[in-house]
Amino acid sequence: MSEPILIRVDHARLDAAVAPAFKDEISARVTAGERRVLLDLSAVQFMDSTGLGVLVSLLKRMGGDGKIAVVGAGPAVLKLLQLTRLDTLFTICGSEDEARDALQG
Amino acid sequence: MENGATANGIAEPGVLKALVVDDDPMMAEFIAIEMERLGCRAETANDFDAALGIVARGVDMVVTDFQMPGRDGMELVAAIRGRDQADAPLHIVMMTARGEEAVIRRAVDAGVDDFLYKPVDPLQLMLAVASARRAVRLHHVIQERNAALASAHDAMRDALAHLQDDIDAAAGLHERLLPRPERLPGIRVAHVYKPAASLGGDSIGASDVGNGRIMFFVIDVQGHGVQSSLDSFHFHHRLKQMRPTGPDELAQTLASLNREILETESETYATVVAGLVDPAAGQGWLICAGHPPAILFDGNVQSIVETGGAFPLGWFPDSSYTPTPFSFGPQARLAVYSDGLSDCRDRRGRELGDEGIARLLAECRTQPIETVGRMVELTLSLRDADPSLVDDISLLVIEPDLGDRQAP
Repeated sequence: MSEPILIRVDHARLDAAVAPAFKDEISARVTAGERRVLLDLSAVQFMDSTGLGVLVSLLKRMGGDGKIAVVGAGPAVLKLLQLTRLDTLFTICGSEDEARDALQG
Repeated sequence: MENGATANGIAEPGVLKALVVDDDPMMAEFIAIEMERLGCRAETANDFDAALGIVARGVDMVVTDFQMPGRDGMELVAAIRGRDQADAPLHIVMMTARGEEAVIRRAVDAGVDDFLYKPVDPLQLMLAVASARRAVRLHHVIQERNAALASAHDAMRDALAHLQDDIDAAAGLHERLLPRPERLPGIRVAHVYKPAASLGGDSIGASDVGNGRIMFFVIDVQGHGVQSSLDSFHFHHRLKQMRPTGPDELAQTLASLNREILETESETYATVVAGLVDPAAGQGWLICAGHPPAILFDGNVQSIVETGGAFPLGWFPDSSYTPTPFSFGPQARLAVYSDGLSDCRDRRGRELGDEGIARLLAECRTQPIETVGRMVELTLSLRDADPSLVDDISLLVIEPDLGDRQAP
């Protein structure tokens, strides 16, 4: 099985200011039909509604049987994912190894 | 035109209005004639005062002798450069004897552009006139561009003022959507509404849906600015138009709005907390779609209305919404808010948080409901957050008002 696509967000604030560039990166790297993405949010301390919208567009881009594993979600990000129930669609993992295992399954 | 400039301020090529100053009238006349041959219109003056008088009427170029009885060429240059019209297109040439380097240095400091050595060579004069012509034309071009820029700037400022008027008008329309206590029988209501910019993506609503029931909601549309504000205005009206009177209808209303947003095929979405209360029956129902939970008081007992949550509106076509019942007895007070309130930071960067809001509401539990709004506004005003981090802030607080029914 091929490696999942690793997307590491390097911004402390994933907000309206960086969302367009982040979205472009996703568009370039995650082609239609891609099945597995490992999303590293360790650097992200704050995410606003626009940043969250990009994660949802990633989810939609991958279609129904795509899988996204998230590592490094801090308290603020985790709270937002829980509030919006995105935690039910992403696999929230404690480490990159755990995320890779989750994506294999 | 008299001064060699066309109506729009650009100098006509070839016509340069010149003044020749020399205490020797013959010399002045000789140079003037040479200059007329080079396409200039030249006048002459033989002393300081006469020269300054002609300069005051407007010339493009002055050719002056250095040595003159009375006030000399150096004083004339200083006087011309010292006038108010510092940016007048004036090219000054001084005639000196060869070898007077100290004079030349002083003259440059005084504002002389070029020098002619005596006796004046017609070729040297031609070069000086060509140089003056270029400088004057360039100056006119710059003046014209400055005028165009100033006019464009004025136009931009006017356009911006109109735009700001429009935005203020739109913000005014949003404000008018805020709950009106006199139209809400059976409940008392307080709210805090602080858009991050003139136009916010938040909207607070409360309306009488009949049968003794009140619908209330806080909408937080993704992003800020005009688009979010228009979306939020529209979603507000859609919720009121659909006018759900019961919990199932409320769930259907949110499901319908969810589909409507998706049909726009924009990437907008909204988190919504929406509910119904029936004050006489002492009950209510709540749905949280991606939105922070509601805080409920029954007397002094505070709790969170656990709804289990749901996806925001506008994400997935088959999202469903389930109303959670809660008790809305005579001692109840319910608060719903947008995450802009909980995310509001103090000077040290600490968020108010859900806990902070709960604590604040508990502190003013015994106060009249109007006081709650004022207390929250006060708390917010004491927080001096980085303006770039600020989100729209909305808070809605409701409680039963059974005053008439309880009266003997």
